[in-house]
Amino acid sequence: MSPLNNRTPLWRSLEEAGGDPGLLARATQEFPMLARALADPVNRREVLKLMAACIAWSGLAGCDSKFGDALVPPVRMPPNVVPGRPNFFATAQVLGGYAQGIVVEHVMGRPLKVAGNPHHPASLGATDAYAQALPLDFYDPDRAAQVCFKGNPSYRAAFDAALATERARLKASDGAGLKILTGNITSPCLLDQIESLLRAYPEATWVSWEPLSRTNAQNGTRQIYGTPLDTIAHLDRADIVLAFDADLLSTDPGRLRYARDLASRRNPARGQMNRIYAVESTPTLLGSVADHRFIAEPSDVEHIVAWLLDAVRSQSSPPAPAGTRPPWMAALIEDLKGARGKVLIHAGAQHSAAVHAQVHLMNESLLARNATYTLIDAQGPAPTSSPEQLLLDMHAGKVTHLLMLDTNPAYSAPFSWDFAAALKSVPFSVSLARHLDETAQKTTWFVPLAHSWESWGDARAYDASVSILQPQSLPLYDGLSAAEVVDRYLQTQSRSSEAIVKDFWRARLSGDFAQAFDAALAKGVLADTAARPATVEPRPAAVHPSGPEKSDNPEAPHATAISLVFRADPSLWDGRFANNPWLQELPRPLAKDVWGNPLRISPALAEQHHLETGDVVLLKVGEASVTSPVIVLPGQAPHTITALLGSGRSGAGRVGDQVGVNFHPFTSLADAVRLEKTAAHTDVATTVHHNLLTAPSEQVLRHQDLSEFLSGQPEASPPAATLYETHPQGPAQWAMSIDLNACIGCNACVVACQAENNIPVVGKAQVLREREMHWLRIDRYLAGDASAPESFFQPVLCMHCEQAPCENVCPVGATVHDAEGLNVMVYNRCVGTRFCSNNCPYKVRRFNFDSFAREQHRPRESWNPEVTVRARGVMEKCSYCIQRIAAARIEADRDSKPIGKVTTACEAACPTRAFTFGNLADPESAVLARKRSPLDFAMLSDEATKPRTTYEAKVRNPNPKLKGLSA
Amino acid sequence: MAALLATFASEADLKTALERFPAEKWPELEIYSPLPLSSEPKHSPLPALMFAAGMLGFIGFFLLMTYADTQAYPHNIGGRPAFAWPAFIPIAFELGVLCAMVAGFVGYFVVCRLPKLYDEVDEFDGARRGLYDRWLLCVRIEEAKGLSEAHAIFRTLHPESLEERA
Amino acid sequence: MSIAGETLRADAPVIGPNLNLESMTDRICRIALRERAFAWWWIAFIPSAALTLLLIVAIGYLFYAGIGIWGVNWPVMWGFAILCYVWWIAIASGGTIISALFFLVHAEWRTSINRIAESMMLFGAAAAGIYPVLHLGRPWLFYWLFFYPNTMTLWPQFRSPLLWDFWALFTYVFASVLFWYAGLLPDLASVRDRAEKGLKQRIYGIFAMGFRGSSGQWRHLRALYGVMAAIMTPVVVSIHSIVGLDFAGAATTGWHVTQFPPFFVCGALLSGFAIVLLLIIPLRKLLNLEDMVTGRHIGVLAKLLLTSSLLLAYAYLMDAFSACYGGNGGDLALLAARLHGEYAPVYWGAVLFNVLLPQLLWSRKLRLHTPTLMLLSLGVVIGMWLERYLIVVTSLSRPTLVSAWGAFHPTFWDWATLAGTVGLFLSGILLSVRFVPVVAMHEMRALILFPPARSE
Repeated sequence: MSPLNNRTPLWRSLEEAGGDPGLLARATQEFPMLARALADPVNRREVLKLMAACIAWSGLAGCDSKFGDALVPPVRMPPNVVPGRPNFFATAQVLGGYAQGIVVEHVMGRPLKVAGNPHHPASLGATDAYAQALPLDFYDPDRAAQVCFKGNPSYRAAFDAALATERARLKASDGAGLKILTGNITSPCLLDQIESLLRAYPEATWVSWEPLSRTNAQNGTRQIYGTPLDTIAHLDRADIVLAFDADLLSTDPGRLRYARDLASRRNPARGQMNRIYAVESTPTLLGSVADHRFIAEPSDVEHIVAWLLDAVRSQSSPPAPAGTRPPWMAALIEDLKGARGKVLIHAGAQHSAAVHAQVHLMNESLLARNATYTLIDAQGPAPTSSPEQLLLDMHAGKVTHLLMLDTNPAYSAPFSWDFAAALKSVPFSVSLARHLDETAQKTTWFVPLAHSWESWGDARAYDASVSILQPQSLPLYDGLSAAEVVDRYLQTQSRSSEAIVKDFWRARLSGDFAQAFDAALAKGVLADTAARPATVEPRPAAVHPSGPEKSDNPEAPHATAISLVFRADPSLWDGRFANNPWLQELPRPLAKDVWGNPLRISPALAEQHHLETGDVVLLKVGEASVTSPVIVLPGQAPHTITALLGSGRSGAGRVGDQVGVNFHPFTSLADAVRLEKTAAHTDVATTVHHNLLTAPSEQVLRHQDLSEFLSGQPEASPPAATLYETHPQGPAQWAMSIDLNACIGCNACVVACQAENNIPVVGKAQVLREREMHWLRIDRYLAGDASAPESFFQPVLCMHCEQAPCENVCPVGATVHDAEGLNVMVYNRCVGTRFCSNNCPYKVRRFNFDSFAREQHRPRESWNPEVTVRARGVMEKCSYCIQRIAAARIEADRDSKPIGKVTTACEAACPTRAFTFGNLADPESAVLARKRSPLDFAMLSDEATKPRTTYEAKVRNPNPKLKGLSA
Repeated sequence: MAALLATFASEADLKTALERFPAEKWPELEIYSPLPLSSEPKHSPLPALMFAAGMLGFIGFFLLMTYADTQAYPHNIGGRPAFAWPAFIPIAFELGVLCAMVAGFVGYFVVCRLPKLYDEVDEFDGARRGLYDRWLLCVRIEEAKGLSEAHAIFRTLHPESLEERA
Repeated sequence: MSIAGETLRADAPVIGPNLNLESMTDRICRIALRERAFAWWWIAFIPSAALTLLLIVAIGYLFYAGIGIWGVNWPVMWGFAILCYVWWIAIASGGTIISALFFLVHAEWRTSINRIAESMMLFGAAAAGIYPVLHLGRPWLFYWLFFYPNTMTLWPQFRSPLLWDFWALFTYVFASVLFWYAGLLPDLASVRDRAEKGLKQRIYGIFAMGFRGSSGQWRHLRALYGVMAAIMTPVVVSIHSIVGLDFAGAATTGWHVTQFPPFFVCGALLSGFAIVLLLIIPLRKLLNLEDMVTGRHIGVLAKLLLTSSLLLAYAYLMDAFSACYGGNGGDLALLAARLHGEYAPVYWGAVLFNVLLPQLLWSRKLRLHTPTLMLLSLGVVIGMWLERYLIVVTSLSRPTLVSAWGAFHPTFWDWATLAGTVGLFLSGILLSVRFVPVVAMHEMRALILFPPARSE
């Protein structure tokens, strides 16, 4: 054969060379431009040039610096990082669309700890548990890192390319078939962009929908005032608060502010006490601190509202309560009428528009508006369509392009199962989400959402004041912000979130932009952007709203009918925090259960169905049914079952998946509810193991009525006699006082402590074995009748006893006392005899039975470098945040001045300022003042431990006319 | 130099034999018996030694703890006094006891010159019954005259057996 | 070789009539010098050794995985480790009391059983001794409880009852060994002299250390042993009182009781006598020691069992009384949980086994009926364990602070460790029975030559 035949073949293009069609595809994926070049008839120099360039870029891609050093610290300090010194940057946490100002503490450039922003009206320096858990949210290893196409890994350029063609198509059709689904949005910038998007695509429609919707409340105002309004309560001005299934302290956008205002009226030693009436079907935070908690089935609540409206408006003396009407009505009405102008009546957001309307009328006739609350125009333009409509359109094939921004309808929509199916009939759907969640798994394109700490943004607070959100670090994952995605629909070359936000505000800030913008960033809130009270009057037409038929007897029809109510999970919100282990293991305020959402049922119902905590029931609502364990919760309305929303995720991540049951699909069902006991029983992990209704002894938790407090002179507890001489005291004497009147059991302190002190989560199995690690726990006591118990919260942390029982039983001196009164735990010295815990009357010591710290679901860089991470076999406990004390001490030594104010993590987080920590040696210190309070008492004082942590006794202000009627 | 080992059936026989061998004349006598002799002298240095050691241990460790907590590294432990003497007593007692026990045990081997795995007396066949059922009298003699004299005495005593070794 | 038995005679002499120095020594030495062990010995030893193996596995896994493998939790921070420790220490102490205290009071019946009592003390202490180390969160650092010079110039914390306990245990184990060995020396020498030439002779020779029964050796030994016995008696009381102080020294509900130290000593007596009975009743049969361990011994031990169970009954009453008298809410709640709460089975189990059943021994017939005695003693051993469970676990699970109540659920590894230590104890006893003279021969000789006046 001729040698000419088998010479190496010359080739002109890659396909020819490899004969491998996949090769080009792969090359495309790596180097799009190169691929384009290859596709054309080839010029080799071009190819080589591009190859070189691509390789260079692929290297450079790693060191992309989006934000430079544009972060602005809130106080005047050198922006560069001083090793060992934290930096603080203001931003905001946006939940349900509403902002709460936070300040993020950075250590060596890593955002590690969240504190409230004192300048922000919705925070006043406080945070809630969600904000405290943000660091784990940010460092979550399960966050989506890359664009997906039909569930397969893809890349940004491919998405942009696909979007480009779509953009062309949509332009041509004026955006017909384009739907945008978002959560509730208050961000001026994003709203502006969506508007311009709708302008650009006239046919497109925008659906704004929030699982925990507040639209009922707005519709209520629409009925009365003809326009949707938001309510801003001023609880500090209200002498009487009447709340129907209140969410003021739990999910209301102003919850932190409200908590602070409320607390200012709850301690008789510091001011005039208000009186709180709560009417509710399932215990709420407000209800558990209320002076009177009246339990009523949800349907009865509506009747009660209607009756009250009648009574309040009738100028005559209140009608004698009919037999069916609750006996407490008369006294309540009298109380309300007696305090005209100082009354606040509130209904939870989940109540019907009608109820809200009636509540507004009551407030009007009690002259409450602009006295105890104000109305402002509802924030954000009303959405132009409803989610139900969207679903119909999707089925009808009218939706050709669906853009979903940070919303997860396939999980959290009432029609979620249907939605997932309907998505199939949408040719081009985009989901922007932080995880590859239930919705994202079904869309054609998934784009990872940049964490709010990775991108720029803005949002309004409950009172409409604006905060600019600034990124807290370079992106951990290459995500896009909502604004950036919308921007991609508007113009070909997209802007960064920074550019978008700055361009938007440049047009709107008066004066020197750079200066004004920096000021806004530094303060965390834009000066005087809070909304003015809306000037509205009730429409005459609205004076007789359509309430339920008043004559009908509430008891009879509802006597046995079970009603199912839904509440946001106190730890997981609507489920968006499901992958956050801190929040999963956060004991729910009242039932104290973790890792799951068992149905809350009343003792009566439990008895009726022979159920006990942990029994699995089959819950049937019409056709739909689900099995879930139950937990018996005293204080539930007898025939009301409470389902917590937020569990049962399947696309949350390794932590949150398959925990609990998803009740979102049931929220829209109105059919009859049936409950059937099954044979199954599962363990419900809770952190209380005593009989539910054990009243706390006086030794543990002192409580009294206001009348007793006013009459009885404060008994000054004499110093406990002791055999021992006191030891030489250091320059500072640390101590804490906890006001039980302020504590609302919101758990912010618990997560704050966990975040600050590197406290591990242990998981459900270990909680079931009673090995939870929280240094700070909130003991919950229910006293009295199981149907209507009186509830108490008591935060318990190390008491730092001056005569600490734990210390003198440790054989190696691993826990000793320091000169400043701290009971310090020397981890390195601990051999793990655990005698200290046995001997601690307060049981505040936690033991590392396993290598919990090593098993945490979080990257190393998310730990607080100031706090030792404890090893297996070591005892640990609250240290009064000794790392913060040490920092203050160092500062004092450096400047040779007396040690300054130290704030513990729990104190900083607390919305109600229940904690006061400070230096007893300083005569001006707040803690000293608090300890002088007549209510001050030491827990288990007869143990003669001389605790440095003391409490202020709980005082309730019941209506004398209602003595013995209810808690 | 020679040695004689006579074995007797009872302690009584041994006693009579001993009377014939006054210690001043026969310095090199040794008795072996299966159990302590009922009428043997009781005096021993060990009790005194153990008492001294015990006391020393008690006081020594008490002082050590006092030093540790008041001088070497005083801590504030539960607001208790540094010199918590009642708390020092148990350990001082236990360690004192330990000293006494060890002192006695070691002391015993010293005063008895033990361990001594070999002894001439082991050469006698009769020696193996020493801790069995016989009372042994072993006489060591320097000069031949004494040897014959001892033989003479033993002949009158009628021991169960009599052995001689050079 | 059944132990099912003849009813014994309490007025039997403390030793059989046809027993002389020769036969006694021969029989005891023959047991130690047997070429091949008894069949029953293997039958008993193999399972015991297997359990010991289980112990080794359990400890290995414990060191690998940490005490998280046990059922301990918050607030029940102490579980099986401590309660089994106390249980074993009680058993060991019982042995010491028999061998030391009754030596001082010249109880002639103690002579033939003191060796068994001492082995019991030894291996009981061994089984107990490992627990305090195992129960540490970081066991490899146990030596931090010693005084020793270190770079941090740190000292142990002498106010802690745990440290007292550590040293008490250390002393007790160490002293027990010395006491045991001192008493053993002449008998080892006897065995050496009985042994044929060869390995056994050498081994026993080495351990006998050249003891030959010379007048000086006897004189000093008697002095030494006497003083040691005089010391061991308070030591055993002290160790158990200090174990009691581990609890009484704490402010914990249910522990903070001044009567604990004597209470614990009573418990030690009871379990000690029970275990001795459990051991000697079969052994006297299996080793043909009927004429050395006679009805007299059994009868006396039975009476002592009854006595100590009455002492314990008093302690139980006082425990309940002080709770009521003190009127502390926590104590009362705990008492309620024990009397008619979730811990009632444990409490009444302890009362039944430790107090009620032993009352049968008022009957002279039952006192001498070996099967009954065996069953009662076994019951006491279980009852004592239940009592420790009560003290350690139930107290911790019911602190004064209601919100810190908890429950304790033992895991497989808890049980494995317990079973393992039982194996360790039995293997030790069996080995000592096999290779160590089971009866103190030199003391028996005194008994044979000068039989005591009949004491009735």
